[in-house]
Amino acid sequence: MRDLRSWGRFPAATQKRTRLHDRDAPVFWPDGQCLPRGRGRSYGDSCLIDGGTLLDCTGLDRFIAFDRTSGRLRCEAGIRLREILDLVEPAGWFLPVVPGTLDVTVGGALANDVHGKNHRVRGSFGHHVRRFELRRSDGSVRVCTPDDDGGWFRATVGGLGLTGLVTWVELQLVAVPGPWMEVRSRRFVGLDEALHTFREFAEGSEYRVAWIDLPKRRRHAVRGVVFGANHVSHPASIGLLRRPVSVPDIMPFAAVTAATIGALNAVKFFLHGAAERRTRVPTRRHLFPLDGLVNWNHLYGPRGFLQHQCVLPPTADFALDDLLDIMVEPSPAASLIVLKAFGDRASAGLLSFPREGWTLAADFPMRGVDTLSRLDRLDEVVRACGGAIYPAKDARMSRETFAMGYPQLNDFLPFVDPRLASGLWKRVRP
Amino acid sequence: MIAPRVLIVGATSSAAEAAARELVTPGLRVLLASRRGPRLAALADDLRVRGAEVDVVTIDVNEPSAHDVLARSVDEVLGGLDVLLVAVGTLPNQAVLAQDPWSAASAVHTNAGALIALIERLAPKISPGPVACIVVLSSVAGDLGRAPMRVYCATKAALDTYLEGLRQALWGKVRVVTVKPGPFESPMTDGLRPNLLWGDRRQVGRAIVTAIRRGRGTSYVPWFWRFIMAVVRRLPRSIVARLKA
Repeated sequence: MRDLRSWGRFPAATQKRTRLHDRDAPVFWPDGQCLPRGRGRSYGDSCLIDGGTLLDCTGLDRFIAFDRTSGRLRCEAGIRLREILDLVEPAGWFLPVVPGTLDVTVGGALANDVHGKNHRVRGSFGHHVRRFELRRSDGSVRVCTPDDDGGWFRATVGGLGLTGLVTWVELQLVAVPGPWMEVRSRRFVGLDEALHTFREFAEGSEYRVAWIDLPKRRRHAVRGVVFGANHVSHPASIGLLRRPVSVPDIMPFAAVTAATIGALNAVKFFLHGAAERRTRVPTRRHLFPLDGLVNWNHLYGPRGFLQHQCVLPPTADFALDDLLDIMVEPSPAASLIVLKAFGDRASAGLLSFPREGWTLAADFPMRGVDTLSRLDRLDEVVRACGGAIYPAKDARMSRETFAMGYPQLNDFLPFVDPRLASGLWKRVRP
Repeated sequence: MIAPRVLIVGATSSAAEAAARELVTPGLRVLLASRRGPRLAALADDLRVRGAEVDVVTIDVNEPSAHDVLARSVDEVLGGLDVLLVAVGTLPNQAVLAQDPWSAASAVHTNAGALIALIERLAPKISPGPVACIVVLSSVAGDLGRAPMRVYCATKAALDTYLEGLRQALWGKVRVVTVKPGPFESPMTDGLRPNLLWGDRRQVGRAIVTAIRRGRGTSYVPWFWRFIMAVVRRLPRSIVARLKA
């Protein structure tokens, strides 16, 4: 049994692994429960199956076809988004929706219907998938398109890998003027000012995100920076980007503590300055800042960490206040807190997380039962206003919370492959 | 300068695939040879997307006729040859060998005999020059016979010695590079348990590309295997016999 983990390194799970190499070869389905696996960048147990077998798809990493005029790309599902951008960026194309890291597979992006900082403009990943091939344990092979009557497309997009194995995907890329972004940023103090700035930036910026700091005496001192960005061309060439730094897996303690986080956040806030700033940066530096620090999850030490990401309906601004009140409590203090906004585009999949409203995400060093109960209290706030928790980040939400957040769960059930399961699914399925 | 003409034999092995992807630049002319038709077609599609001009030929190096086909393809399809990459090899299962010792002979034939004959056949077709090279994927296993894989080690040792001789024969005209990776994860080693020293196919692929571009002599991947093997080779036999893996 191999000890393959998830990004947050919690919970623990032991599972076997079998690797796939050919997209056309019949899939060998091992005995017991299985789960397709990409890079394992989900935070919790949606990419784990304790006691079962992971179907490692990272060997399915070839391009199949790329039309440089229309921006239509077909590739195997195990290829990473980074490799796609390396190919298409020089030709003037970009992925319309990208998560915060390029180190995920296309299959993983589809299974979680990932979103980026530009949902209001571009929607989620599934909105740009034109078709894909799905293989199930009964030997069936089908090509799924958004308008298929069987409903397989909408079940598999955001379907957490539970409807079958995706072998290849066809995407529609978006044309961009160049590999740079113009970034506009403004500091804020107080949640009202944050939301006001966020709304103001909507007119001129495709990508928006707010980083939030909660200094100790929080009540009137939420502070942070809102960033708005657009793709731009630039006369100068990119030049050498810095090589990524890697954090080793041997850190016996957590480098992320209340003291270090507090200090780092304070420095970031004050360094920004009170005036609005505009800069031009390489696209990858703005959209994927943490990719420069490979394996940053190791900074949390061997106990790992949990992330809580939720979406709140647009009428529930007050709930953001309640969530931040809970997050500011010490032991453990929430480290990275990020706010984004979703537009009102209809979801691409039955279990898609992105829907209209605010989405708030926070990391918590894992300190045992205290951390789990803190996240439970965050869940209560989310449930009370009719929101949902993001399964890709989750390691502990309850069955009831999941059911309340995903009203189309019963429509999804018939599409689940009987041989597939994940830690998350076993925890939340009806 | 015209684009180099590249022939990759055993193109669908994981190291060769990784190398092909690193090597490919728009306009590169590549002929891929392997016995695995579907995977060959998939690799060809991938390299074409990356901008190379790709042709494929499905052959088994164990067949003498395959050598004729390859020689003809080099002339007719590529119009000459600058870079020859050979990445063919099977890892005989020791349990199978115990049942059928004669299968050891066919393992030696594939890994060493057929490959040596093929390289002898194709080497004269390479146009001498700065880009001209023959890069062959061997293994650290060739440096020292080890009990659980003694037939495999023998085949690699035979290949290594042959390549030493070829290097001298082609000195000044065509570079001959022997790439020796330590163990790495691949379909060939799927059944074995990796440890911390194991590498990955991308690393081996990059090393192969470096060897093609400017390698000389022998290249160990990662570099530290050169020292590990130098030491292990000199250990008393009684100690080596007791070492695990």
